[in-house]
Amino acid sequence: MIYLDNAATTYPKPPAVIRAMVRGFFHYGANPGRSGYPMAMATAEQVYSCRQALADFFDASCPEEVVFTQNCTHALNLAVKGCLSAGDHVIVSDLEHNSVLRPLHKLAQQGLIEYNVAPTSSDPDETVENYRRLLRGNTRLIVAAHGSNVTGRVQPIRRLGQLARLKGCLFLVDGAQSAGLLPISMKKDFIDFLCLPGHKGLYGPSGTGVLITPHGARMNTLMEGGTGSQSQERAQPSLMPDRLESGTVNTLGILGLGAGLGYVRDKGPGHLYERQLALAARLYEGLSEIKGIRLYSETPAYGRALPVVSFAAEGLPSEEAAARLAEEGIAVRAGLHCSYLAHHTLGTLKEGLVRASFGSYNRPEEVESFLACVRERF
Amino acid sequence: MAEDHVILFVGSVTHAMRAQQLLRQAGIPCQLVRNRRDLERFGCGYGLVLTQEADRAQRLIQEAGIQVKAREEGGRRDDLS
Repeated sequence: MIYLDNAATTYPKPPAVIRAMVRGFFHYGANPGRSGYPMAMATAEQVYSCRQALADFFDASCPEEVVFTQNCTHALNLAVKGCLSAGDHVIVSDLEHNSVLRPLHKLAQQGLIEYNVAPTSSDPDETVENYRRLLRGNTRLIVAAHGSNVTGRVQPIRRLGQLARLKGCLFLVDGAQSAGLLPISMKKDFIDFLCLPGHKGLYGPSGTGVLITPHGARMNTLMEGGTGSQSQERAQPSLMPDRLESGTVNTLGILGLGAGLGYVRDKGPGHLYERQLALAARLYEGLSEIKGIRLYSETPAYGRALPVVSFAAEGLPSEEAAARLAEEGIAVRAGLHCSYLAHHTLGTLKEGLVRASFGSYNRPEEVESFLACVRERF
Repeated sequence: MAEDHVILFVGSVTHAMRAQQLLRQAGIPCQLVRNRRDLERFGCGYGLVLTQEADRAQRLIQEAGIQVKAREEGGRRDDLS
């Protein structure tokens, strides 16, 4: 199989990730933060180690700002519903994933908030200006996907963060597609909420996600329950990360995530990004030469695009195109990619697009096989 | 456990581990233990057992933004929360 669906989840996972999880089954099988016997403490240390590594990697102030979630959608819901109050206004981009749009849409339907959609542009100045023009006196939150899961466009998050900070708004970055590839700094990018999946560019297993925020102690909670701390109190504790981590965490998943992060650090995110972008660029170039193929993603330029190539084949619905590729052993995602806004912006809601997305284990010859298949089967 | 130890209690295992790491970097060894008494007052939590430089350790932990909820010395526990 030629796997080109890394934007959905990365595959395969590095051997170190699998080893870490298997080791966890045997040696770190306790519930961390609940007891004091040696295996419980050892398990807690492993979880803490991953928490700290994430804090270091994303330039958070301390490990307590790192909250483990079940995925990026969970992290986004925590952030959005945790920081907004009735009467607030939110600005999002026209490329946001449904995991940003839907929680906001629900709050808007309930009459609690209003939101506006800022058009993005390949010109970062235009993007920032489009956000700025939508600011109001009650704008509480600005949201930006660091990179689109459909077009691959990279947004100017540092400048948007500066804008938010200047205007007294909170800034949420959806790093689902960029974490592990592009640099993200909580401090330098003025980020208040960073939401990440563990299972994409960080090469952890599914069932892992991360929210990083310095505001956790004051946030509304989605879930209350056992935290292993302050159990004598009926109220959910304010101390972090416990406040936003009720119940048993996905310990084995976190061990895997820690190993995945280690893999990314060893390889170097910049190196991973360059290599994958080069593959995307070759695919983009090759597809542009095939009659009847229309490209919808950003030209794979360094710093401006992620290694994602989305296209449509004339007269061929995207799911049919993906099915033909699957028959030839090529795995891609077709349809609307859980991104109503992106496809609405592109005008592709009717038939969707075929999306090829690269990961660490893809090779140049796979791109050539893909192109040969498109020439033959489309 | 030595009789001349001090235990500094913090609110969570994450706080305890960060505190232990800070103290290790400062050259102050400590052991982590569970809170064993007064659960209704101090709850489930973790303490850092110190046999040296307890005052400095407490200061370092508090300066790092970690709340020390109680200090136990010579069998007597003072509530600091």
